[in-house]
Amino acid sequence: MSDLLPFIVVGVAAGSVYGLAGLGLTLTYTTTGIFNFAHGALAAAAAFVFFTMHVDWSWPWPVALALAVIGVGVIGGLLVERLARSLSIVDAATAVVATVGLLLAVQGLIQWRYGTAARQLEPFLTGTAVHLGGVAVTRQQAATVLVGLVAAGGVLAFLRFSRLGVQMRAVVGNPDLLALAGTDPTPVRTAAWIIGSGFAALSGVLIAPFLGLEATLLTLLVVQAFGAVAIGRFRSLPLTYAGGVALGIAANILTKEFAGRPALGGLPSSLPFIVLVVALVLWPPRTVGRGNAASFDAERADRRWPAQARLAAIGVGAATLVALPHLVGPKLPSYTAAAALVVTFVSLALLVRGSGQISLCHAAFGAVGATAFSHFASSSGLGLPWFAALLLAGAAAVPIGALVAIPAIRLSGVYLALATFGFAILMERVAYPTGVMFGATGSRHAPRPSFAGGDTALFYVTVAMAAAACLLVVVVSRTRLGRLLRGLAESPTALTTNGLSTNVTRLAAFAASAFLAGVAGALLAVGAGNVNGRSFASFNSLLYLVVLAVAGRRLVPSAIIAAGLLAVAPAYVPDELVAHQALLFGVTIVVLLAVRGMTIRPRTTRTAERLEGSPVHSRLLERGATV
Amino acid sequence: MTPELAGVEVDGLTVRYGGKTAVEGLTLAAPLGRVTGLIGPNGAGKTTTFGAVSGLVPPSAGTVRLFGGDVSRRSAAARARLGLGRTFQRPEVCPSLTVMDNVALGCEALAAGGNLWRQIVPRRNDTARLRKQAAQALAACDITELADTPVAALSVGQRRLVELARVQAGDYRMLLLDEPSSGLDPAETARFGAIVRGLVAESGAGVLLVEHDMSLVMEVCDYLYTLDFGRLIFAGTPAETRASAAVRAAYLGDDDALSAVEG
Repeated sequence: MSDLLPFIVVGVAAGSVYGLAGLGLTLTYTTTGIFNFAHGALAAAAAFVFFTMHVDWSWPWPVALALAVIGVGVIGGLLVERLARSLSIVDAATAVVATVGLLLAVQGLIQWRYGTAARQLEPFLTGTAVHLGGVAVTRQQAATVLVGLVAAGGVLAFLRFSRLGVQMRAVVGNPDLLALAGTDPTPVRTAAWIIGSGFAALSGVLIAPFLGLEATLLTLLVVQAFGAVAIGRFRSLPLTYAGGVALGIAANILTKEFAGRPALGGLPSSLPFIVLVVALVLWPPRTVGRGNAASFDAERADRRWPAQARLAAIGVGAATLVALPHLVGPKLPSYTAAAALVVTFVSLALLVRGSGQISLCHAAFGAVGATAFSHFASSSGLGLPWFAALLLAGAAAVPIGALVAIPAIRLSGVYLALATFGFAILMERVAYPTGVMFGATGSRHAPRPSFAGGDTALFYVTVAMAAAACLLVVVVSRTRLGRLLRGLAESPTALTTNGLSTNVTRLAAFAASAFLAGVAGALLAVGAGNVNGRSFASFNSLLYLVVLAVAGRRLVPSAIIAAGLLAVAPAYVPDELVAHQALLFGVTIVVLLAVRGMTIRPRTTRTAERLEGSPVHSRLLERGATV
Repeated sequence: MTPELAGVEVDGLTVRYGGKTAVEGLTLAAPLGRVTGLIGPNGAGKTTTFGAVSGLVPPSAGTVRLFGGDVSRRSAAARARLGLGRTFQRPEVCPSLTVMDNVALGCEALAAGGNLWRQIVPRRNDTARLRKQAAQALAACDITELADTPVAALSVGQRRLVELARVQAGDYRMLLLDEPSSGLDPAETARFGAIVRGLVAESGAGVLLVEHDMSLVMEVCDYLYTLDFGRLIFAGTPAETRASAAVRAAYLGDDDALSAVEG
């Protein structure tokens, strides 16, 4: 036990930070109904602001800390509030896309200003360590725990005793009633966003000395707070905080236990995501009816072009594609990559647009397809014929898709997004480094087909595969499964009570999508020659969803546009811009959603559904408020 | 009661939400070929009972039998495939689809069922047959002229008719109708009563009806169960219910309902 004590101390310190971040997240989610994926990005931003003021400008740490927390809290809070207000009547899918977009934007901004290299932030609280039962506790650790406890206690007391706190709880209970009673819910929500963002900022500054300053890492570490939020069942603040501390302790004890086993090295740091996925699947948070069903606007018949125009467009498109290799010269590989990405995007569109289910783990499906293809096709592996290996690569992703269908059966909307994102991170940390996938060398070779060794031939082959995938998705969307999926997006209850086993339908959708995403991963790998885990990082899944949302609403055209934006456009713009691709897409989607009030589905039904999907409504149906 | 007449039979049903008991120890039977009413003040547990019977709400205790067989452990979809159709207090429809597509989708869901292959590939001529069935149901519910209108553009009353057409097209032997007349005007309500009576007389289907419009209840129902605070307080014919002191006490203060109960 005593040899575990140091790990417990570190765990309590880290856990307090997760708990703090989780508190902010739960507070804003319960008061506004919008789950802020960008919470961790705000934490990272605050850590960098603190770094600049304290290290670069040598300001005393209390001043820097206060300014960073208040500054990021207020600016971030107002920004998210503005975004959330435009979202207050839209569906869960749009809200997920918006806050994921914000995440990419904030993180991109940090990388633009500070670069991607990690920096070290010295503990800003120095002085002799305190000895506690024979264990040295640094001042930094003690202060972190203390600040965490004070802040958590403070927010609980605030909610219970202050006028604004009571109003905040009232907003959770019934915003319309509060408005009728003469209190505008908007400032109350604004206050919640500012407090929540302030908590994110505080957690970022506190955790940075333990982990170093790296935008992605910091963002992800606060994403660990998602695990704490899941333990708090998306409602309870005390439980969220306790969950954060418990996760911190457990992860550190596991780190010690697994120290001698590198194969399991990814496990301890993934614990919060395991908890997140398992908690979501085993104890699905209450969602009401179809309320949380999320849906991008399905393609509507009246929006389609007339048949002749479509044929003409397809003809012109085909002719352009045939001529393309002779027109673009050395930029051809970008087009080949784009063709492979079209397959990724149609597979995502099939889920998101076709059935209103959000997947934030498509990059993981791609990784499975790419590595499986490498095993099947390369001469050091099975050496199967190229096409057979390609189809088998898709088939290899199907069981993974079926696995993800388990959360999809039990969850919808933002909870499904969270579960799939947790799964994506787990895959990246635990499965990617294993020998079956990318292995220790981190790279896999994907051979070209023997009949298409040249760039031009490979381009044609990839385009043919992309066309086949588009055709498949169009056929699926127009036949029975497509109709059932569309119904599933809008009223799963109606389909269930009319005899459809919607579990089977969801399974079919995820399996089909995973198959295509697996094929796409293999095609991407072939185009690149060699791939590693970074090509399929979990953040790519976020980027895919955001880019697809930017690219419009129509099933196949949006997939083609999205692939063009992601793979072809970079070949024609300066390198500095390419490095900040995520920033550009993040800002674009935030602007589209917040300023233009872009909608992702028809206006008529949104208000009622939004209301029902919110925790506000589900809480109305339950006994008392826990906050 | 002979087994072939058995529709829905509920025995000792108890449903709790958290610590709150919504329905306690409810026993009722809604046979085929009859219209059975389930009435009671707001919060009496009527919709919860429907949820438990159709398989959407897990009961804490009790059994649900359908056509004589125990379905307590079957999913909502499986119960629907056995012949149990239902409508909702707040219509469950797909707003972006047209009326025709909504009704046809209901049939298609039933035809696809739980079979993965059937969910992907329809039987030969299935799609045309289902649309024909849907068109007939639209005609029976008198909403043929709305066939190509998106449901988003319809009133709540019209959406109820879409739901009614959907259960009719599905050819269910037992129907649960949850407050079908709310949102309908008096003429539509009268027409609705006629549709329900006609359905029962023609096909021999059974109907279990939750309804607040007492005049409609008294007119169409053969037998009534009255709930209050989750418990059954009276069971009897409309005339007996009207005369019951317990029912009058439950509705005390609800003048409209009271006067309707009093007739």
